[in-house]
Amino acid sequence: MNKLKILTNGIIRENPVLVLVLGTCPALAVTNSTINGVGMGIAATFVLICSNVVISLLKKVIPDKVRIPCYIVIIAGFVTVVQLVLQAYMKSLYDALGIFLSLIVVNCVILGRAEMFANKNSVYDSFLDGVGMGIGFTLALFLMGALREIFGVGTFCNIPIPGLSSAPIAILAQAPGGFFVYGLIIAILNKVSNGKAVKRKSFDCESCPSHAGCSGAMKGGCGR
Amino acid sequence: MNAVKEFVVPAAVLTVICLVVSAVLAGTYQVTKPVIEAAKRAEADASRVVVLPDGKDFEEVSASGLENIVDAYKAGNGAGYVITGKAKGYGGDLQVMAGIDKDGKIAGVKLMDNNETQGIGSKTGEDSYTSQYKGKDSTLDGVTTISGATISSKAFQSAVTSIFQAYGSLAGVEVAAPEAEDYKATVFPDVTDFSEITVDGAKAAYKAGDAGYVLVMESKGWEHATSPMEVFVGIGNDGKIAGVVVGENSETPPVSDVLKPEYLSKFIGKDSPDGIDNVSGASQTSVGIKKAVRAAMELAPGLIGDAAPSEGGDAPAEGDVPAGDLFTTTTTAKGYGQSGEVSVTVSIDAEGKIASISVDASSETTGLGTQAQDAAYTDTWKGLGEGEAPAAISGATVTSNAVQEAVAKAFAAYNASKGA
Repeated sequence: MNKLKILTNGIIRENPVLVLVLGTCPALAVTNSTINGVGMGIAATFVLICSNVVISLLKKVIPDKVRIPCYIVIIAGFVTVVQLVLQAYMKSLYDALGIFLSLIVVNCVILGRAEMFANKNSVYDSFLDGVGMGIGFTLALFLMGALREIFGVGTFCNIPIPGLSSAPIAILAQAPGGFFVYGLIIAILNKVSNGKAVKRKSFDCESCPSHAGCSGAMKGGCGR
Repeated sequence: MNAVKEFVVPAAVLTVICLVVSAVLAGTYQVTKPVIEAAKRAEADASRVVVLPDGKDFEEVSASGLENIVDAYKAGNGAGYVITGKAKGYGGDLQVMAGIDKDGKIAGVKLMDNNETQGIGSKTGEDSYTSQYKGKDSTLDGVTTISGATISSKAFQSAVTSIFQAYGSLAGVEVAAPEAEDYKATVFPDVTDFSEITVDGAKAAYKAGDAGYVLVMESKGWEHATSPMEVFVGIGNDGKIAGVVVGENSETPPVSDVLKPEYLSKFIGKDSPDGIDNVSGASQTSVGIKKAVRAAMELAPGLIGDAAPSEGGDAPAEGDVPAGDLFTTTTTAKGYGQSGEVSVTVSIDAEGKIASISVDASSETTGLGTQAQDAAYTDTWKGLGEGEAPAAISGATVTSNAVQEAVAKAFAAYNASKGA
């Protein structure tokens, strides 16, 4: 696979949020404003790149049996580092992200990329994958955050937009609005790409992180 | 060999990874800890810097034992103190935060938690009101109240006064209390040299030059007033009332009209508040003032004794009568009226007989229970000993019984004092 393709893979073709439908919890929860969305994206990207690199480095060392605990310890370590740094230097973002910052530990995008990519590929490729996926994740969160803020609050990055700030669709900035916007974006994406956007192969049982322990795997998949 | 690969290696790898991650975290924690703590401090300081702009590194100091104080912080750089005090406002407790600089002057005040009426009492939180406190010292000289929001303004001012008291004890400096000076001077306008004296039973007491004494009494006024009234009773050297002024109080119009000189001047020259009518519609306030005056007059003989050569009948401090021969005490008992207190002052002579008695039944039903105040009734008590009582007033049995009960208590106190 050529390097550029690895990089762009995560941004469009296999966008983790909009195509792979991973990491939806933070994508819905913290995208009530543009800045929160982007902040979350950057924090997750940092953890993703670091964990991808380290896991790829250790792919020979980590025994198959304990790989999930190992991944989680590594990811949790990076998340805590991010948490401490944000608390020290970007207190407002830290307060805004709240519990979802610590929940990056169980973000499916990160664990998924560790399992699907980093433990099979070289360190450099894993790094590029982390960057690509991170950018894709951040872009998706930015898109959702921006749409929800513009129409739900009438501002963009806290700057009021004339005409919209006087009559916002307040529900878009609330929790239900997250689902509305998310659903609409995926629908539009599917329409534009003629249904080719969602890459079925990525949902294969083999690539599921819980494949080994899943009883449905024997019968050909969880939902089938 | 297989067992090693199967169990030992995975466990060892996981342990090593955990150790390495822990080490990395410990390192990060060490680096970020001071920054995080500084940020937390700055955040906590931010609210206090509003009232003390020069302050930094605030440290909480113990405010226990300080009256009406919520919390107190000392600026680490010596800029002063930020103290939050409270007072009863119109809608419950009102909290004020004030910064006091190192010269003991106000650097800023801010209205904190309060339930004052929006648009009226809440004006005390506005800059136009709070800015007048800036630069003031503990006397709060020249601080004005907001018209229409007197109670809130007074409460605000009282909270600031409490803050100054707290500042005084925290910083170990003498803090002059505001106001008291003015009321004393109103009682004795010609006197300038007031000296504070201690009188048991009075909230405060002053010797007014050679003119007499001022006793500060506390008394409950209107039942819905948020604080008791402070009544300044001036006593001349002749043992008569020289003047009555009501100080701090939270009486409200129209009952506060009673506090005006037109009514209070009626007391001047009298021996006791007996015979002064209550103001219709403001009975509770009137009764409160009269009670305070009566209580002050109880204390008067002890004061005048050393200043004036001779006093009327029942002063115990006369030179030729050994002290203690005449026992005077005031007791109360539950009467018929709504506020329920009948106050009786009894003097008992050396033989254990009643030398004089005066009754304050002003909270009783006018025309019925109030008859107990009349000389026609009180005279029937004179000369009676313990356990004896005159006939009850027909139609005012409950009040009469209350007087009787109070007299019995007075005798009990008399016996206790003789035994001691």
